[in-house]
Amino acid sequence: MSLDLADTALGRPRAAEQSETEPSTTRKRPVVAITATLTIIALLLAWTVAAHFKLVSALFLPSPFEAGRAFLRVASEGFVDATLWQHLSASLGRVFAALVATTLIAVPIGFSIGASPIGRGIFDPIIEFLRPIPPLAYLPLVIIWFGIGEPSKVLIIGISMLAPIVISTASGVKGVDTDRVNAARSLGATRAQLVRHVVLPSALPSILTGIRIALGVGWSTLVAAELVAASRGLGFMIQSAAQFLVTDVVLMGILVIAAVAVALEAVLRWIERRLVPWAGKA
Amino acid sequence: MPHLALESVSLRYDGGAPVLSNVSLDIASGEFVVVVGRSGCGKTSLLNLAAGFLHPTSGRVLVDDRPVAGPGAERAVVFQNDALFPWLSTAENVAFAARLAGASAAERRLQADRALEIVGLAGLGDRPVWQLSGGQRQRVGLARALAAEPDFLLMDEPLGALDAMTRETLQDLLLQTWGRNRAGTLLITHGVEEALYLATQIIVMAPGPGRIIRRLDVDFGRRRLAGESARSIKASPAFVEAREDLLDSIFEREAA
Repeated sequence: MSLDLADTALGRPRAAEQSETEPSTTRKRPVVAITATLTIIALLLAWTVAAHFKLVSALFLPSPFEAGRAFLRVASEGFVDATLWQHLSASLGRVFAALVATTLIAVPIGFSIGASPIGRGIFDPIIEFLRPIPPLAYLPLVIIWFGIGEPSKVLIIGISMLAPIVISTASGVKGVDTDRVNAARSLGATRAQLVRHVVLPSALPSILTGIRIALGVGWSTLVAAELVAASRGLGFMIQSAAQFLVTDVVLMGILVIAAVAVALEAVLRWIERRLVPWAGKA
Repeated sequence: MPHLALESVSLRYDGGAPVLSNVSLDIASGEFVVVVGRSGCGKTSLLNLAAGFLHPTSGRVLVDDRPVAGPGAERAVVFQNDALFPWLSTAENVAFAARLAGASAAERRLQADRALEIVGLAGLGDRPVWQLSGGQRQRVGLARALAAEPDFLLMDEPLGALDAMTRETLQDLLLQTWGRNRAGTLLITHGVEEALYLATQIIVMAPGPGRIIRRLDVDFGRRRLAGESARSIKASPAFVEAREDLLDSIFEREAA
């Protein structure tokens, strides 16, 4: 913090004026990366030390090495009748099924909220109602209505993804540059062409951001969804392990869920850079 | 001959003060009409009415004596903030009208290359527009309008956001393209020199409510097209005198 102040505000006022934020952010990046790495190392070290000196019982806190061994064991032999890869692909399959279905529903809803007052009147209350409800709260109702099959699990994840995509799509549609719309109209665009050639591409960066956020939300809903009579999945694996106090598998499962979340985020950001390289630049 | 007219047009947004009051103006092919005035005098609203983006509260907007119902491809618009489509390449931006009309990729490319050549951007068709400079982007905006082969070119402070040197280069470009295609042109600007340099007719507007307070015919642009240098025109006593005279009319109200 003090370093930032010295750099931008006091230390080099001229340079800061000339090129806005560029020099300070490029110099900040390695600092952030180094600090972040050190934090992770410190946490791992604290965990190792606590486990090694039995500050916490091994039953509650296995060492990082045990979690690592659990990873190798579950990856090769499996846990509760499925390998780690099978658990992972079951979970990913549910989240992606939910993502595809929800995107197909949420983008048109977002369009109608962003483009028409009537659409907004119809859908806004529904979305605002659904948005703050934690997935565990509607879980029992979904089971009553739809049973304990695969669709229920996908539905629970899907509901949690709905609001982020709808809201970002709507804000993308609302934020379409009036001049661009007018430019297209003056070049002869019909209403349908406006939507296809101007509104949709304009809103695409927002839609992708919504999908990225939704994927994060959906992934974190996974454990709740797999409470429902699952026989595979990372969430199911963690719960089964917890019932038998196999804490190393629980810990390993949590770490895998976190790692996959980071990987998904990175993939989505890569897709955004490829699909909408202009976002924020024009 | 194509002919764009505003007949005693007034404009008022719901419940607000009038933006334009009783404005009449007439643009025929081969004319370069420049509207000057301080900010808030309704210049941009005037252009939006001519383009069909806005509808007058009273009065009529006519193209070839037919009332205008909305925007149309015969009236191409160049915007101050370029309004390009960053998801399309430079060439696809230029050929956007053709794209809407369902032209093939080869046709679009041909048309784009021709228009880009006119605005001095030959060879940049494959560039993403967000990698272009401000001046280049305005050239693309102009090329997009020209590619639609409009009868009228409506430009809303197209050079307003550019640096002084780029602006002078583009003023010459506007003159040359107008000299070649003779599209009836309406240009909004707050630059008095720009108005004198480009216009065949200057319209001075005053705010509160926006109205026309003066019209004058000028011919510096024709002198430029006849080969006289920009420097010698802008330094000539006639130009300087006209500039001071014009500034007087713009700021008249303030002095009174």
